[in-house]
Order: sequence, then structure tokens, then C-alpha cells
Amino acid sequence: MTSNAVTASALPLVMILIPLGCGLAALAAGLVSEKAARLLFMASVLGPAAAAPLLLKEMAGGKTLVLKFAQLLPPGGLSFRVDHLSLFMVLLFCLYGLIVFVYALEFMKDRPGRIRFWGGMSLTLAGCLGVVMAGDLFTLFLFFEFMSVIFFILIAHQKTPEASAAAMKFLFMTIIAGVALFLGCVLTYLQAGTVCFGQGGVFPAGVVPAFAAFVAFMVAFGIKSAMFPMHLWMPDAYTFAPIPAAALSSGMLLKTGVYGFIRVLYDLYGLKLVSELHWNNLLLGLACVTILYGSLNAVVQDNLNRRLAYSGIAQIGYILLGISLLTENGFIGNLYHVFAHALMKGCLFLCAGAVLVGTGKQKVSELGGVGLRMPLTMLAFTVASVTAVGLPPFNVFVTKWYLGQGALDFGQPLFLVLLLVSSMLNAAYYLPIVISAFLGEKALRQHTIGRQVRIKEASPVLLIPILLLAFGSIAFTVVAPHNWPLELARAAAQAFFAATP
Amino acid sequence: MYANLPALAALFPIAGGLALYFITNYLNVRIREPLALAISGTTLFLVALMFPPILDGQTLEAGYRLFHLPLSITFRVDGIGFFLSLLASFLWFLATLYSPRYLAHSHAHDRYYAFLLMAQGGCVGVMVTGDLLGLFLFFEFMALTTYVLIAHEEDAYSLFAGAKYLYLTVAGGLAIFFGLVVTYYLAGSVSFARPGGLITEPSGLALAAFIGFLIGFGIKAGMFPLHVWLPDAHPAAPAPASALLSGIMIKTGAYGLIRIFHNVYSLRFFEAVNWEICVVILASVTILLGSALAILQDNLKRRLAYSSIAQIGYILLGISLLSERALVGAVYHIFTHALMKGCLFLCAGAIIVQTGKKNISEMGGIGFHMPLTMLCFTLASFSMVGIPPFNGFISKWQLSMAALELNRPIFVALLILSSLLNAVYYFPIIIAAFFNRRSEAESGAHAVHGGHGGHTPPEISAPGPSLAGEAPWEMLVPTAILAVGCFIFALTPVNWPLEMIKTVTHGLF
Amino acid sequence: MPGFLPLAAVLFPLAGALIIRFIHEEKSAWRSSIAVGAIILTFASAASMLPYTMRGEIIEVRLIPLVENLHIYFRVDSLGMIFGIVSSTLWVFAMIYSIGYMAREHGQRSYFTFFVLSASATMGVAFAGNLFTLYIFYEYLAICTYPLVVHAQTREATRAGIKYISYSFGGGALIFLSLFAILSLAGTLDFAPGGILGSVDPADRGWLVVIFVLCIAGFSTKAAVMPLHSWLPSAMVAPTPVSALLHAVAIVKAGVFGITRVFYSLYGVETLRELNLTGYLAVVICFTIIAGSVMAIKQDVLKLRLAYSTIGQLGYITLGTLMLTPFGLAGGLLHIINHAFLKITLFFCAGIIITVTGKTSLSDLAGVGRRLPLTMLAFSIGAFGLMGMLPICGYLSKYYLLTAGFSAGKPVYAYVILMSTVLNSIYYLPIIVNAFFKQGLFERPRSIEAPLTMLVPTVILAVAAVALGLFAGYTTIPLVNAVIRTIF
Repeated sequence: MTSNAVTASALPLVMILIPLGCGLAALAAGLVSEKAARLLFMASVLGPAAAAPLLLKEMAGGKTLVLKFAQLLPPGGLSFRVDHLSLFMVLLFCLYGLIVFVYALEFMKDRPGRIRFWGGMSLTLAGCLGVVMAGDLFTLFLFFEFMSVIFFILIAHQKTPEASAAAMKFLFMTIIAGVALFLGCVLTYLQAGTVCFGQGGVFPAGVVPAFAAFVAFMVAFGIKSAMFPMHLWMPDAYTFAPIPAAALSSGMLLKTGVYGFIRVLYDLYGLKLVSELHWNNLLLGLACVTILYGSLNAVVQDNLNRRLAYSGIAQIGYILLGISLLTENGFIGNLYHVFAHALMKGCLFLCAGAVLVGTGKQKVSELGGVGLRMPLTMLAFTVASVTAVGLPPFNVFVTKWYLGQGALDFGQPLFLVLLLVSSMLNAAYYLPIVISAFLGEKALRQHTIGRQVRIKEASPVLLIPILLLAFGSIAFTVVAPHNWPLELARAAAQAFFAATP
Repeated sequence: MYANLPALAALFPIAGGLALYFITNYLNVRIREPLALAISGTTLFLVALMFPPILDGQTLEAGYRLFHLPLSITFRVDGIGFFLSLLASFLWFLATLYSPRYLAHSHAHDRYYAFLLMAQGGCVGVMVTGDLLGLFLFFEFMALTTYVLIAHEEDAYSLFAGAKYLYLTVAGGLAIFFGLVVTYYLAGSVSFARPGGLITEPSGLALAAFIGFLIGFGIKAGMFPLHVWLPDAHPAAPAPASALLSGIMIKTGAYGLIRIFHNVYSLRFFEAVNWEICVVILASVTILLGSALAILQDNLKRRLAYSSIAQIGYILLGISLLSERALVGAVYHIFTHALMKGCLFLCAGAIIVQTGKKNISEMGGIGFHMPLTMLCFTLASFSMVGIPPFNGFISKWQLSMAALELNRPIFVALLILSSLLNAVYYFPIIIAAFFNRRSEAESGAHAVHGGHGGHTPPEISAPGPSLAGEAPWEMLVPTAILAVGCFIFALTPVNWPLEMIKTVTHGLF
Repeated sequence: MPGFLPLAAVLFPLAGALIIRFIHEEKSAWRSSIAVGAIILTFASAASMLPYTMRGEIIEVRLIPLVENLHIYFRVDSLGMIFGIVSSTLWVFAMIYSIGYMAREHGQRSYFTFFVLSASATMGVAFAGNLFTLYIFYEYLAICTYPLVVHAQTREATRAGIKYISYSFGGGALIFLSLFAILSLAGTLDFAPGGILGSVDPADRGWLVVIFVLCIAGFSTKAAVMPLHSWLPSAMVAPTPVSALLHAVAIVKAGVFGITRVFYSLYGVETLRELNLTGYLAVVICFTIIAGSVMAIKQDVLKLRLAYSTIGQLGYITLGTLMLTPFGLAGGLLHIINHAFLKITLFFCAGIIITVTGKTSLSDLAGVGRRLPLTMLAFSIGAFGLMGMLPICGYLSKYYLLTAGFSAGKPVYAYVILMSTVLNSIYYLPIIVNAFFKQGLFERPRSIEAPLTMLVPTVILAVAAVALGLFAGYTTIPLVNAVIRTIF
């Protein structure tokens, strides 16, 4: 990659340390004053969000920010690096984090163990930010593990046997991911002598990287991003974790796995090497299976969270497909879907949470008429569902457009057909929820006295994040003068593809 | 000054529909119907405003950046787009006029009118956009808003019919999307304005895209074997919605195919590859199958729905014969069918509201109670069968002439056979209505447990069977206007729709 | 002056132990302060030699020639320094911890006497300059830890003691035999960086194999290489600080340290490569790693699980050293340090759990995180460290071991370690999860969760484990590099 101007900046470190410090402080302050804990919890996301514009400013003109501590954390050293790809993720995490944190503040208000939960969320945010701003594979590994272990606490939060079992499953898979990532790091470092990002391929000419390392990376990031067959932890985790945790995971944790894939394929190996080796085909195949498997499973789930979880698996398949096509359009599509999926699925999860709070119901079959009771919530749910199906003018349409172009650039229209089949399945598992929420005699009987509907919306603090996310599905395609996420995704793609004709 | 008119015409009813929902919900319920009518009328007016420049042979064009994709969405109105959007707006206006009385005892009026207007916006939008992306956008928007109209009654039957419609529509939309992406990939543009078409080289991908378009628009048009949603959706929807569904909305599928044949691909392209044959065959099967199945139906709206399938077959046949005259026939049949089938559905709605009867076997002698309604029904049926001087005759004439010009007399035989079948399923209704007093008395007793299989729509909240009376004027006037439209143009010195259609289709060749 | 330091390290605890022996059983405050004082002095002596070692200087002191070339000989090189400094550091913590742990136990006088005395023996092992001295202190260590193992004076403890002492003396006997062989072949027993057996007459090569088998078998008993491991789990009847220090740090590491000495100071890398014997040992070690981990999964008693885990982890160290590459040795030595810190943390936590709740079985410990939050947090750090999570120090040794495995063209070693890591997670994670996320009988602590003398060392060690990972570039790596420089 053509290395642009590089600036040393401590900003990335500050952005990680704020949520880290605030999270720990919130845990400690929780022993004394809940109010302080709440303040610190919000500060942990407001800090990075406030710093994000500074990051943009420092990066103006295509600069890359770096920060190195060579002596810490041997042998790789601790280093941070923010390029366009990282910036994209950081901005997404800050924006999305802000919304989910506000929601979590209200959602967990009266629940036991909330301080621990809030603290855990802050620390998870720190971990996620760390992963996407890491300057080398070791640093990435550090934050990756940290984030996963902390997230375990969030999954296990409810302390029911099911939640513990789900958390254990997650933890084991995380450890396996960690071991695999470790193996990948070691092998790569051994062969290339460096695992720093931003060199457009670390392997010297003539060195064929170990296949074992590639498989290890696939396992590591595959587990985190819930790629088939490494998705096993996800449905359980989403079902038994508190809603904000599931939303956090779907918008951020999963995306760190995706980010890892991108970094390894495009940055560590380099586009040229991967396309010569054709190892992307392995990922390509798994991505296709993931899409179909997730979508088909989602159709038969009755638990709403579980349905959303399987849908998430399918959506991750889109992203992985975009990554493994190795075409510029596909890459833009994947990155845009990272954004689109975060907003859309986040909105669905938050709606599910609001419905759970409002009605105590979590089964799809019991949700008849809920739209009459909570019209705005279910309107947001509808918008997000329609977005998921990929209808214009919502975000996912743009994703599919680019993924489709990417598939054709790759020379395989069948991938496009696969995407469309999956969209159809999306419709099959989302639209019945929407329909039964608003229409149907049963719905009327349940929620009306005569013809008068009793509207009982969720509290505004829950509702506003939901509506914001729903609005986000259309905000950048239609309302805003520029589609910033798309511009950024293009810039990130350019960085990787410009160097390799 | 005219350039922004198409966008305005498409977006005004959408915004109006949304506004109507909130106004009536939170401010004032009583202005609901007048407001809806005003919005629909304004839309009609906006579309009509485009007439002068179109008459001059101009094309109205305006581009808007919308998705920040590498392409923008453009509005572009040429003759055919103008003609069809005018037709659509007109029919919508009549349906809006008709609706209040039909829905008097139903529920969720706000929702109904809001979605009715939004669907109008979508439908007009389909016809005024200048590229595939815009067409796709409005097409999907119209399809989704229509779902709410179909499922309006919210009983098990309409929900079932609605779901069937919805999933097929979504599938169709995705098929079109496939074609859209491939077209952009091959051509680098999706605009209809490029002379010589977008896709010029035959290839596997081009064929795949064509199949995608065919599936997508075929589903909407109700082409065999993708018609399965249609016979359920029409009886389920309220009558004015059925009239629009059958009169206009399924024609957007045909309109899409016209654009595909002439603007996305090109005539020269099809001369080389002859892919249109498959459309010709499917259209023929659609005609015969629709007519044959219509005979078997006892539910009136269901019979009308199958009839629509047959009629859409004519239109698809006209489109896919790829001669100028055939296209004139097809477009004229779009116009004709909109009027007559709209009229028939409005009649059926009037019968339901006044008597509660849905099945043909119960309708003996109904002509004595509702003479004007059944007169309109008779006129529209004549047009349907193709008796001169009704409109239906003119379109069939054009189609037959085109078939002969192309040296394919088999299609003439097909048209005649289908007309015969039309007669077989329309005339008994008329005969029973006007000449069979006794059966009316009998069927009145059986009305409660009359039904057709498991799919018969149950009673809606209309007044119980009453022997009294003609439909109120709000329902009768739109019906009558449409019925008169079925023959009036053939009697005027200049059949100006035909002339107009000839002009606009000439632009495509 | 510097020559005095190794002697001081050995003699301070000896003196301390003697004083404690004569303090009345009742005067526990006196006893504690003298014990801690003696150990701190020991640590100070060891630490004051560190600058010399880092400069590459070697402190030597040769005492009493027993016979012509059989001396008590101390020679502080970098390898010995690692073992010495780690042991003495951890001894300080263990000593403080013992005060809290033993507060209500019987026989404190004998306990403290022998606990301090063991430090002397360990220092002797660390700073021994020849195999003879090493052997003397090695046996000395076994003898003075025996009373600690049988401290409980139950039937079970007695039996474990007998097992322990038989294994130790059996191993010692093998080493004793090898002394003569080496002396007759090489003419000296003094350790030298390049080995002393390299110059042996090629005709006597057969003897080298015999010596190798004798020495390795001898030290392997202490290093708990399977199938010579069975004393280690039984010896867990000892009081927990003893288990912690002796079984995670001093005794077992003395065995591993002995093996390292044999490899690098007696044979030398070249000779061993020519002999080509390490491959066979590697098979045994790999088996030990996997089998130890698997058996750990089955244990329900926390200390036993930790003991089996130790068996597996010691395998890492031996595996690293027998690869005979800089990376391998670095990995092994780093793991001596890292494992010491992590495992002692885990044992300390186990001790706190036993003292506070009286429970030893894992199945009784559901929800204990509610009662002992800080302790279980420290436990989690220790466990995650052993699983190799960044930035806790354990990852670093694993990194070097994996690199060594791959770069030596023996990826199977690397995969064995990875496999074992997964197994580690299988036996550690349920403990943590059950402690924090299962409802149990435990209530929140009313004041401080455990006696400060126990809690503070535990927490400090846990923090140190993180710091050692994060700042390894300033701490452990230079230390290990000093060894690597002298040997390769």
C-alpha cells in the first residue's frame, strides 16, 4: 500500500483508555454510589465519541496515525495505527455505542447486577476500540482476548443455568479462537519477521505463508464473527444474554471478527498474495454456507432473540462474502454492510428488548398485535425488517448493490442469486412478525377494548435509541447530503486496491 | 418548469398519504375522505399538467442523486409513461371517490386511505421514472403499500392472501434487482434514455438478467405460472383496491416488460436472439388458462381475477410480438382493460355492499334491484368479450391485425377462442341478473352458507343482505364513468386514446 | 565482597531457621518477624547479585574441598540467577502468606523452621557451581521439605511423606551414581557454559547415554515427568503455602532446573545434538503435557487440579529446554518465571478459599466469587495467564515455545502446547464461571474478604503477573537473554 503521511498521535490510546478507565472506575464507584457509576458509564462512551471528531481532524488529508511502544508487550510491541478502515470502524463503534449505551442505561435500570453490567459494557467498548485501532497483530490479539473475556461477563449476567451454559460455550470458543489466533500470530511472525499492519503484505517475496496459519486465522476470526461452523456460541448467547449485550455483540463484537478477516487478508497477507494462493475460496465457500444456514435456521426459530441471532449469522455471511470476493466493489459492499447491519440489527434487538420490557413476551408466536400497543417501536422494527430484506431506499440495498457488482466482477452471478435467496428468506422470517404485530383479528382482540387500542409505548429513553437506529437505516441514503459511511468505505477500499492493479 | 413535475406527481401522493394519516388520526376525522379525494385529484391534475409539453413531443427529464450509488435516480416522462400515469391517476381518483361508501362499515379508514394514496404515488412513480433503479424503487414501494390494502380486512383469508402476495412480490422484486445489478454491470448505466438499449451483446449474463426481469415483472403482471397470488388477492382486497389492483397495478408489470424490451434491451437485440418467444408462449398459456379457470369460479371477484389473468395475457402477447401494431394493441388493451375491469370490480363491490352477495350463483335477478349497476356491468362485459364498438374490440382488432401482419394467424385463433370463453363466463351472470327472478329468491335463502372451498372470503362488516336498492351515487358515478369509457371513444369522431397510443408507441420503434 | 553474597543467601535462612527453632511456640509475633526478616535478607542477597549477573560477571566462591576435586562450590551465573531470584522473591510472599494461613494451625514452630530452611536449600540449588553441590542441596531440599509435607500428621500425610521421600531419594540416588561417571569421564563436575562432556573420548560415548538417562531420570522425579509424577498429587496434603511454594516453585522447579543444568552446563548444545537423545525425552514430555492436562480435568479437589496442571506446565519447560534452540530455551526459562508467578497465585487463592470457607472440592465452590471477589479475580488472572491470554505473562513463554517448535521444524511440539492450552481452559474456566455465575450458599463479605496477610500477597502477585507480561521487555526478557547469550 502506498503509505500516506504518517503522524504520531496519542489519540487512539486515549480513546481506548477512556472507556477502560471509566469502566473500571464505574465498577469501583458502584460500591459507593450508583449515580457516579451511571455517570462514569456514560462518560465511557461519550469520551471516545467526543474524541472521534478530533481523530477525523488529525487524519484530514489521508494521514495515518501511529503510536508505538516497542518495549511493552514483547515480542511484538504495543502499537496503534488508525487508517481509513480503522476510522470507519471507530466511528461506527462510537456512534453505535452511544446509542446502545443510552439504551442500556435505561434497560438495566432496576435489574440486579447492573453496575457490573455497565462496567462490563464499558470495558467491552474499550476492547472493541482497541481491536480496530491496533497497529499489529499482537496488539489486536491483546484487545481481542480482553474484549471476549469481558463480554463473557455480559452473557452470563443473568446467572440462570442457561445463561451460564451459554456463557461457558462462548468462553470455550473464545479460548479456542485465542489459541488459534496465537498460533497464527506466531507462525506469521516467524515467517515474516513482523506482524505490523499497513505494509500491504508482510511476507517477503518468495515466502509461501503457512497454510496452518491461515486456517488458524479463519478459526479465530470465524468464531468471533460467528461464521459457520464456528457460530455455535451465538444463538445461545443472544437468547440468554440481556438485550443490550446482544445488541452490543451484533454491532461491535461480531464486527471485530470481520475486521480481523479484513486485516489478515488485505493487509497482512496482501491482496496480491491471497489472490495468487486462492485461499480466499475457502472463505468464500464458508461464507455461502453461512448465509444459507443462518437464513434457513432463522425461519424456524420462535424465540425472537434466537431468530435475530441466526439472522445475524446470515448477515455475517454477506460480509464475509464481500471480503472473500477480493474485488473492490465487494469490499465496499462488505464494509458498508458492517455499518448497515449494525444499525439494522441493533434496532431489531433494541425493539425486541423494548417489547420484552413492555409485554414480557419474547416468542414470535406471542407477538400478535404488539404493534397496536407499541406502534412506534414496531414501526422501527418494520423499518429495520424492510431494510434487512434489502429494499430501496434503505441501507442494505446499497450493500447488495455493491456486493452484487462485486460478485459479477468476480465472475460468478450465482453469488448474487444466493444473496437474493437469502433476502427472500429474510422476508420470510421478518415480515410475519411485522404482519402479526399490526394485523389480524387475534391481534385486535388481545389489545383492544372494543375498537379502542391501548397504546403503551416503551419509555422515551428506550424509544429514542430505537428510533435513531431505524432512522439511521435511511439517514445516509436519502436524507444526508453525503453518504459518509459509503465515502469512507470507498476510501478504505481504495487504500487496499489502489496498490494492486 | 415542467422538469420537476414528474417527481412532484410521484412524491406528492406519498407525502399526502402520510400527512393524511396523521391529520386524521390526531386532528380531524371528518375531513378524511375529502382530503383523500383532494390529494388524489391533485395528483391527477399534476400528471395532466404534463400534457402540453408531451403533446409537443418533449420528454420531461430531471435527475436526482438519491442513493449515492454510482448512479442517480432520474425522472423521465415520455409519451407512454405520461399516458399510463394519466390513466392510473384517473382510475385512482375514481376509486378514491368510490371508497367511502364501500368502507362505511369497515375499520381502519385512516390506514386504508394513507396506503391507497401512497400506492398511487408508487404507481405513478413507476411510470414517470427514467431508469431501472427508479422504476425498481417505486415498483417495490407500490407493491409493499398494496399489501396493506389487500390485507385490509385482517381476517384469516385476507391475511393468507396478503402473505401470498407479499412473498411473491418480494421475490419478484429481488429478481428485478438481480436484473438491475447485471444490467449495470454490463452496461454501466441503467437509464432508459440511451439510444439503442443498454444491453447490446447477447451473453449468459444478459439472458440471466432477462429471466430475472421476466420473473419480476411476470409476478406482478400475473403471468402464468407466476399468477398464483392473483386469484386470492383480488377477492380479499376491498373492491376499490381490487379495481386498482386489476385495473392498473398489474399493468405496471406489463409496463416494465415494455421498458425491458425496448429500452433495456433493444429490438435489434431480440431479432438476434429471439428470447421473446418464451414470453409469447407464456402469454398464450396465460390467456387460455386464465379464461378456462375463470369459468370454474363461483365467487364473482375471483372470476374477475382469473379473467384479469387472461386479459393480461393479451397485453403480454402484444408486447412480446415486438411489432408496432401489436404494441399499439397491447397498450390500448391496458387502457381498455383498466376501464372495463375497474368497472366490473366496482360493480362487484356495489353488489357486496348492497346485498352482501359474493357468489354468482346467488345473484339471480339482481338486475331488478340494482339496474344501473348491472347495466354498467353489462357494458363492461360486452367490452370484455370484444363486441364492437366497445373498446375491447379495438384492442383485439389491433392485436389480430398485428398477428396477421407477422404471418402468425394462430394468435388470431387464440384471441377468438379466448373471446368465446369470455362470453361463456360473463354472459351467464348478466342473463341470471336480468332474467332469473326465481333463482334470486332461492339463493337469498342459501346466501348464508354459500361458499367456494376454504378460500371464500367470509362476511365483511357490510350491512346484511337486503333486497333494496341501487348503489349510492358515490359508488355509481365512478362505475358509470368507467362503463361509458368502455365504448365512448369508439363512437367519437377521433378515437384520441388510440391516436395518442399510436404516437407514443411509434416513439419506441 | 561479592563472593560473600551466595553464601549469605544460603546462610541467612539457615540462621533464621535456627533462631526460630529456639523461639518459644507461643511467641508467634517474634517468630513471624524473624522468618520474614530472614527471607527478606535472603532475597536481598540474591537481588544484590543481580547487577553483576546482568553485567555478565560471574560470582564464584569455592569452599571446603572434600576430596581433591570435589568442592562445595557456588557459582552465580545467569541461569542460576533466574532460579534464585524468582524463588527468593516468591519466598517473601509465601512467608507473609504463611503467617495468615498458619495463624490457627498447630506446630507453627516446626513449620516455620523448615519453611525458612527450605529457602536455604533452594538457594543452594540455584547457586550451585557444580553437580556435586547441586546434588547436596537437592537432597537437603528433599529432607527439609519432608516435615512440611507431613505437617498435618494424619495417616494420609504420613503416607504421602513416605512416597515423597522415596521418590526424592530414588531420584537422588540416580544422580549420585552419575556423579562418579561424570567425574571419571570429564575429570571435573564444575558447570561450564559450553558443557564439560563435549571433550570426552569418542570411545566413551556410550557412557554419555548412560549418564543422560541417569541424570534425567533423577531430576525428572522432582520435575514430575510422567510416569514419575505420582508423589506430587499426594504431596498436596501439605499446608497450602507449602504446596504453593514447594510444588509450584521450589521443588519441582529444582528438578526442571537440574535438567536444564544437565543439558546446558554439563553436556552442551553441540554434544546433545550429536547424541540425538532429546527426541525420546520429547515423546515422554509431550505425553506428560497432554496426560497431565487431561487428568487435571477429572479432579474435583481444587489443589489436586492445580497439581496436575503443574505436571503439564512443567512439561512445557522441559520441552522448551530440550529443543536446544535459543527460542526453546528462552521459552523454557520464561516459563519457569511465568509459571511460578501464576501458579503460586492460584495456590494462594486456593489457600484463601480453604481458610475462609473450609471447602476444598470444586463442586462445593459454586458462587464463591460472591464471598471472595478479589481472590477469585486473582485466580482468574492466574488461570487466564496459564491459558496464554495477553497481557498476562504466560503468553510470552508460550509464544517462544511455539516459535521454537515451528522454527526447529517440529510443529508437533507447538501443536501439543496449543492442545494443552485448550485443555487448560477446559479445567480452569468452569472454576471461574461457577465461582462468579452460579448461585451458591455464599454471601457477600461483611468486611475484608480474607486476612490481609494472605490477601495482599495474592493480589500483588496477580498484579505482578500482568506487569510481567506487559513490561517483559524490561524485566524477564533481559534476564533470559543473559542466559541465551552465554549458551548460544
